[in-house]
Amino acid sequence: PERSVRVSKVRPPLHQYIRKLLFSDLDKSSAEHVLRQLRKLPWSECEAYLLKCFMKVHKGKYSQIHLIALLTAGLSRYHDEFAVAVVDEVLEEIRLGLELNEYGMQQRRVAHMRFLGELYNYEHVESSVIFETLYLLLVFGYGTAEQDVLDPPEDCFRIRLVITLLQTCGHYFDRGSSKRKLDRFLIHFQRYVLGKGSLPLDIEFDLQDLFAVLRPSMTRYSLIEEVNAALAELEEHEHTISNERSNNEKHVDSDKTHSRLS
Amino acid sequence: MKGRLDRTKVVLRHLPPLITRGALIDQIDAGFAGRYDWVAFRPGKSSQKQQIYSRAYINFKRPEDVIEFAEFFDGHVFVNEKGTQFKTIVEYAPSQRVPKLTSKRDGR
Repeated sequence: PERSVRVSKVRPPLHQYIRKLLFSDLDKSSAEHVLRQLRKLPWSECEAYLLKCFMKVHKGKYSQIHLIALLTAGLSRYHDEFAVAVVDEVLEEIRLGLELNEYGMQQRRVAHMRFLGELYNYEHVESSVIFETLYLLLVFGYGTAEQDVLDPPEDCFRIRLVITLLQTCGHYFDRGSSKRKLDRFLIHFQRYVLGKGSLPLDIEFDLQDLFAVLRPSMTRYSLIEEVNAALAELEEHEHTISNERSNNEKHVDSDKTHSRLS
Repeated sequence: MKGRLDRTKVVLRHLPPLITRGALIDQIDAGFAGRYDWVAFRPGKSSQKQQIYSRAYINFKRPEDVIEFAEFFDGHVFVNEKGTQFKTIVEYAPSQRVPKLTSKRDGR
């Protein structure tokens, strides 16, 4: 049978140039230069294509993902619309990955987690976005009819994603409210992990490493009852604090009324 | 950080892959013209290999408008010319950042 010759994709020169900058020129020493070249591009023509290329972090080297985050932060000064879009797009990729849960997408999902973490490191996303993403990983699809498709009981991939994100930026959550938020998350995470039953060794070792780096003195629970008790205690504690706060406010309020009356 | 009650940026997901920006804006403006100050539209893609939904990000001027918008558009069904139905999802955008209006002109 006759077969047509396979035509390789011909890209317009501008696209070829963008790809050359991002996928072959970019390294630690050339990042400043690449940033300058990107700023010189005709933005109205190629912004959409550039966004597409920035989402291809999984095609490059894992160790260079932070450079794409650096470029994003660098461009935000002049192209804030673009820099905002990069964040929206990564978060969409993460969400889509959860919705589809396809085996073939795993590598890119790990890369996108890393990218999000690096965007935090370059102060381009807030910690609240990181924590929302972490919790989304624990709960997405739970309580729905598709739970077993979205996160099958023996599937440990979401644990891998949490580890990736926290390996990338978890060390910054070491003081103040973000420290408390990470403490709290790690207990929820432990409950999720225990729900999975026995883990593959590679994941278990990565978990041990993660806790050793981030919270060396935190209890690792081995029974679901223990972690549930810890969570109940945590919730009660949070409840007391918020009650105290509202009581204090009432106190202040009544003081005001009092002074107004007298 | 913004609290739950003052979030103004939403994302519309699962829009028909081939809907145009204009067609979507017309639908939004029918009830919400003048109540938002920023929209970003991301066209989808429909080919034999894959289908990618369109998406849109909208920033409302007031948090209350978000609630009303979600009541109307969350679960709203778009029908394309072939009769396929697309049930839209409205959610708070996970990142609430909106571009600064006065982006500096790049002197390069």
